[in-house]
Amino acid sequence: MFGAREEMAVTQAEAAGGKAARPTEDSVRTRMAEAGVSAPAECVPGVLSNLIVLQDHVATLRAFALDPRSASAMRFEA
Amino acid sequence: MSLPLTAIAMAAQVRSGATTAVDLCRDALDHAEALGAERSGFTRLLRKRALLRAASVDKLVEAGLDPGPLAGVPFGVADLFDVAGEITTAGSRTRRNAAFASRDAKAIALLEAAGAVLVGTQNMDELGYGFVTMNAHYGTTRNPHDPARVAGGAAGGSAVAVATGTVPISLAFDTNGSLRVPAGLTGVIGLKPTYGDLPRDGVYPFVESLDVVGALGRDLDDLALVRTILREGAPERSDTLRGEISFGRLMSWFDDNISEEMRGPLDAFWARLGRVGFELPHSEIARAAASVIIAAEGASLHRPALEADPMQFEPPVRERLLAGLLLPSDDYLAAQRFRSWIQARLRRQFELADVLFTPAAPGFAPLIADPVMTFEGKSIPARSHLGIYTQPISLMGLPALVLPLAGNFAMPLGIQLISAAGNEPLLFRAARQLIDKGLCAVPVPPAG
Repeated sequence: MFGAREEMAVTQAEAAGGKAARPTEDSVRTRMAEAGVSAPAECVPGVLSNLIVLQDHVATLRAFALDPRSASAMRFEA
Repeated sequence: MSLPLTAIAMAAQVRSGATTAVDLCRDALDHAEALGAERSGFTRLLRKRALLRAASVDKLVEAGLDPGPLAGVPFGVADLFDVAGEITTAGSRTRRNAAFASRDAKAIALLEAAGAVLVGTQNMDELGYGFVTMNAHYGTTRNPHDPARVAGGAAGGSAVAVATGTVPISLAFDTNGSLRVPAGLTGVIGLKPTYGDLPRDGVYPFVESLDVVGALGRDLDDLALVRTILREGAPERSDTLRGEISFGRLMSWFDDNISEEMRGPLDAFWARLGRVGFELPHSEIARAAASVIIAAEGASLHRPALEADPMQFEPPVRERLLAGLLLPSDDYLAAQRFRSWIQARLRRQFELADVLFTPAAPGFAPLIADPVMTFEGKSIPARSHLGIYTQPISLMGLPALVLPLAGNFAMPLGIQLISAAGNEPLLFRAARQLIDKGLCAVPVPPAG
């Protein structure tokens, strides 16, 4: 539907070459501590599986990496 | 069971003196009480407040005054609308010690100023984070067409209250499909307006970038009237003076993962409308972006409660919120950037078709005992995936109207009509055409 010219505004994420490492239960524990949230150990597997889902969504987004100047991420109105 | 009265018919009866607001109100309260919480969709009945309010409507009629176009019409609200003197729970135990609301949400005040009577609050997924209305704190809301099945969510209680004929109207919210999914699964009409079109004042937020106030009903004209009242005379943004409405079915993402029970009726519906299909590029990315935005904003909003005691939340919500807290800001901004980008380009889509349509949900409502659905060949939790066809539309900020497909199906099947931003009048005109052609119809509420 969109024209080729518009697609040119989209750069290829692969060019960045940065593939995110999969989180682990250990990394979840560390990141939660760094974020200032303490949750019982029983929560960690569930947080991990949700974080992996989010990471998949992020990968989908990054694969389409827009030129950051082609659209605004924030709109401020006076 | 016979068809319940529409809101407009109820109001006409009250205004003419054929019935009273108190009688209508008492009927709604008694019906909800008789059904019980799980089957009525209500979490809290406001009997005293409602009967007082209804009596005041009757007094206006007795005095020869006009209480308004919704005179005496009982309605309910999802439990994230502020109700004066009540705690707005947002379906969460974390809110149990919150301050009492000092005033009604603006949408409630506007409906009551038009003569309607609030009778209670309705069940939802905790904080609105789910598509099943299986709430560990306030119970599971059952689908009236099969009590063994979910009502859909997050605003499942609001849909069920309408589907059972308890009230003709519910006010609800839609973040990512919150009212469209349950409308589709319970066989009622659901309006998700253009982002920002209806007042959110006094509505507990979840995701500021996506939240809208909407309405559920059994009658199209009722919903059009509610929308008019809530817009307070704001001018319509789009020109609706166009000829024949052209419909187009969205394919690819919106055609994948459709269940067998939905596929046949949807194809038949499509055939009646001329079999025109369109692609909506980047829908999968739109869904991904919506999921990232929800996770980040939801987690940020509830960070204080997560820090205080994460175990207050029910496990699925807690785990999703905690994961959201760990998202890098760059990913959130990328999602918002994509949102701006796709919104700007979508406007051209509606030069090709006036109204686009998709299924509201992949198929019949899942079973409460096993709330899963099939996605890309795998069985996955319905709680987080039933909105696969509504989520991209939320990110784009477009208005949508869910209607039940006409037919003798084992369970309701809903379609989602979508128009350009601000073109709700066209959506209503399209829906009227589909109802008049016999392609869409609200099923009679099941007995009991």
